[in-house]
Amino acid sequence: MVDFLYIHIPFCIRKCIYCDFLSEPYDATRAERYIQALCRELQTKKDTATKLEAVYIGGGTPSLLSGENFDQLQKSMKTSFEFSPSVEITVEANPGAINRQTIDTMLSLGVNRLSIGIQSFNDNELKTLGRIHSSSDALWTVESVKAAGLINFSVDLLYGIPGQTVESWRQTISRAVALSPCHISTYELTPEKGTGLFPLIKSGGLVLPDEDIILEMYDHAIDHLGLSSFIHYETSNFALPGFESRHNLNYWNRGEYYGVGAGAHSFVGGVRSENTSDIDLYIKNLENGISPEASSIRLTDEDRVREFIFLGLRKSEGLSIVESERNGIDLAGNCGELIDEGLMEINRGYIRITRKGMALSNMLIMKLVEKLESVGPGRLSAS
Amino acid sequence: MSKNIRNFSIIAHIDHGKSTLADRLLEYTGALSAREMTAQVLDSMDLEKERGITIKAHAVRLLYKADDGREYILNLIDTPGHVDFSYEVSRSLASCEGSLLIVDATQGVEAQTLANAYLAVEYDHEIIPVINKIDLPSAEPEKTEEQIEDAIGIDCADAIRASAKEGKGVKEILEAVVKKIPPPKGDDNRPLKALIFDSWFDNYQGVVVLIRVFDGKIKAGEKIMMMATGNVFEVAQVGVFTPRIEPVEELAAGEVGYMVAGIKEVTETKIGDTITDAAHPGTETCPGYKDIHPMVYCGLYPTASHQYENLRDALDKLRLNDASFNYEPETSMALGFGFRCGFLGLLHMEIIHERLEREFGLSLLSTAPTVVYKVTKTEEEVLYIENPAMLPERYEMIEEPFVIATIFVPRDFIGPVLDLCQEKRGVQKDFVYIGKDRIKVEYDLPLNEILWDFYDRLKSVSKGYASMDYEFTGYKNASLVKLNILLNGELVDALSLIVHGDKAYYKGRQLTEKLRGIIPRQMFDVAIQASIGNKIIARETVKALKKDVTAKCYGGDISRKRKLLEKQKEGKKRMKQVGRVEIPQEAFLAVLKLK
Repeated sequence: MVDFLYIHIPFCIRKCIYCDFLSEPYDATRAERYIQALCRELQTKKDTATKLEAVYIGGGTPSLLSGENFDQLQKSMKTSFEFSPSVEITVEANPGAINRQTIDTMLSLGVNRLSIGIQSFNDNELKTLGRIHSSSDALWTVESVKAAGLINFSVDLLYGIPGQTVESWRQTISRAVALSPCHISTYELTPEKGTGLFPLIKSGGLVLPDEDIILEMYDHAIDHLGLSSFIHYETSNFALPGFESRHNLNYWNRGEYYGVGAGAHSFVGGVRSENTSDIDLYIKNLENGISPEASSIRLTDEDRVREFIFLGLRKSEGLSIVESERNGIDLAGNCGELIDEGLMEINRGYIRITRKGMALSNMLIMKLVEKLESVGPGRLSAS
Repeated sequence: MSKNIRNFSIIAHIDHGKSTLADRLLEYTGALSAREMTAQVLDSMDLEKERGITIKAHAVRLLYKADDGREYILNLIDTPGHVDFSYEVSRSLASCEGSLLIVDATQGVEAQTLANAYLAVEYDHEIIPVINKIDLPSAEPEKTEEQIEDAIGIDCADAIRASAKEGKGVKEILEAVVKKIPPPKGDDNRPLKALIFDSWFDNYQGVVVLIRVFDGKIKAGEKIMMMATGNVFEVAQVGVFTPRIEPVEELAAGEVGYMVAGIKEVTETKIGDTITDAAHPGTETCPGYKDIHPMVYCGLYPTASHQYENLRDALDKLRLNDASFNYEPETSMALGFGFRCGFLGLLHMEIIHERLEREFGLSLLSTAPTVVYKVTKTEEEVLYIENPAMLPERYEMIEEPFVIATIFVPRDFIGPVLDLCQEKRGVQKDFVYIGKDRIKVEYDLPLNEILWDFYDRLKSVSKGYASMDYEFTGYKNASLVKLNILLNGELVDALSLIVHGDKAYYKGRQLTEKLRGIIPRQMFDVAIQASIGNKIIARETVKALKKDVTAKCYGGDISRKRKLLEKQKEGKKRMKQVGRVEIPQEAFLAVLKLK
């Protein structure tokens, strides 16, 4: 059963220099056509077995969409799928690209969670990132959301920004906590190829903070948010108890999901697939009744085991030993060294990365995968 | 009968068109129809085709009806086209009476052509110059002829201008072979005397031996003896390649063909050895036999230790077909169980390495190649060291192998070429103009110095125009020291190298710097030290990795992360763990990049 849905809205007022998501400048007429295409794709996914547990409308900047757009989307979803009574519906919102009316419309249509891309409370840092909003816009947005009656909102923050100091990061964290969100994501700024940031870093035009500084920032986030009752439940995510992002947890649990929209990914029946990233082609194909899928891959046993490990170890609870065994993986037998080195630990039937190992998770994952695969393919029989 | 036979080979530089011409000859004489021709029949190994060089010699019998109305048997003996295989070339040349000297009219004479042409002169060959690729706009046939006359002293008045690609000049070549190359001499009634010039392993027949009969006859059922090894075998079959395999009743004096005699391993046949009748042995051997020894050694280790047995099986199988490389098990503290393998030269080494990985699906780690050092430990005890790690603590004298290198270079590039030879500790032996604008220089050089980047640099300083050939001349005393590399205080034996004393400090510094760039950051600091004896001469540190974490991993990131992990895993396969330190393959070859 596929109970999770992702909808991609590839429009922004302006692209931020670090962003590697698919987006283009917003245009109302084009957005209109795109929404039509989305609705067509949703129809093709019609699945009576589905009872949606979580919907995530991400982007881009979905909060740019009009009330009508949301209305159409909601109707289309309802014709294709059933909703669980406790469904979590998240929309990504950007300060500077949202108004009170849109908030009201979204809430009236059932949206019950907002993820707000605040990134920083330091206006210089926001400028460096190419964000269109200021810290006061962010405050205004949060106040408006609260005034509309929504308390379940999340705040995205970035650290490791060129010019950012540990002190300014501390302030950003404190001010975020002061807004009483239920969920905070803290991401290390990563210059990805193809973004505007990448060549700037390469050429030395912008300089990332030192590795030690970044580690201090990460540590501070974990410490401070922990003191403020947030649970560090995934590498970059913190939530008040019960407010973990259900949609995102599904990714890390290797659950299935539908993804609709240009560039969206799906995971259904052991196959990971991807829609075309060409927005024109996406629209055209759906207008002509052609599938927008660009590629798909059926996972091998080896792929499954690897995903199970690298996704599962992102969660602070770690990997269930029982579930690992069910998947043919002898976790405890292969983590000995890493446990001895204090990088991993066993806790209530789970194997997880320790605080000490957290900043090195990629390396630990690699070591574990290597160890497991060196014993031969016979052990890799995950279902 | 032997009056109708002509035995000849083709001398040419890589890419000067030897294989294409051989194909044309096969086609013209009807040995193969155009339809049967796959491009370049004689180069049958994939690797040979890919690299455009002939590794193994072959012999093909062609039937040709000449203008004089008579039918001739032409035995074309193909020769390997690389300096690593010069002994095999010499044996092929020894088995015929004449050669075609193919020179690319756009490139001119190259060092390797010259070396082989000199050899042919030594064997009293009638040499027929063929100026190839005259169809190309940049062809300069007159200039090329002038170079041949100057460099080799062959009259080019009757040189044949040809285009093997377009089939031009093929008939003229065949007529010249018939008219100019003398028929083989020899006496059927004398005791058997036949030269082994090639052999290989065939899954059905065992070892197939290519021979040239000089005296006597050889046929199935007879017992023969190899004169150098003393091995005796019973001949099961003799025959010729047309190029299809075709058994014949007997091979008589003057003829070229193959012999199958229940020989199980190519190592039981020595190229250059003489075959005689075991019952009535002759006393005369074919001149020029040498027991050839590998010049270059390296350690080959499986990246995964459980592949050790597979590697041994693969080496066994390759050796079935190539007696010129050898291997001995060796153990490295750093790399575990592997083999020390000896090769004729660097190209030979690359070919074997590549075949092991490609044909046997192995993932191998190779240490930097080394020459063989001669170490006099005491007056009575002399060692040959094929692995720098094995150099004893104390010895009286160490000697290194020297070669005489012949380099051909256009006048415009002579300056940088001389500088390069100087830098490599070369001593000039000869300097002559060949034609108006080419120069031939000869240098006495340590083999060790030309192993590394010499050939590549020669090509780069001469914009690709210089060519080189070399020959081993002997061992000479040298001031050499062992340079050790330590990682976190632990000696990595596989990284040890023997260097010239004057360059030791410089190389130690350079090598540690290179290694710092190659060894990835690990969970702890990695100290890289270079030492001579107990003295540390250079140090670098690879700082510990403190942060390696993916910030976000959502729906669309999962496939990307999976692919990245796969790529990293592939990279890891090429890593070897020494102590706690992971070392990539490039580290073991870093020494090759030292200037």
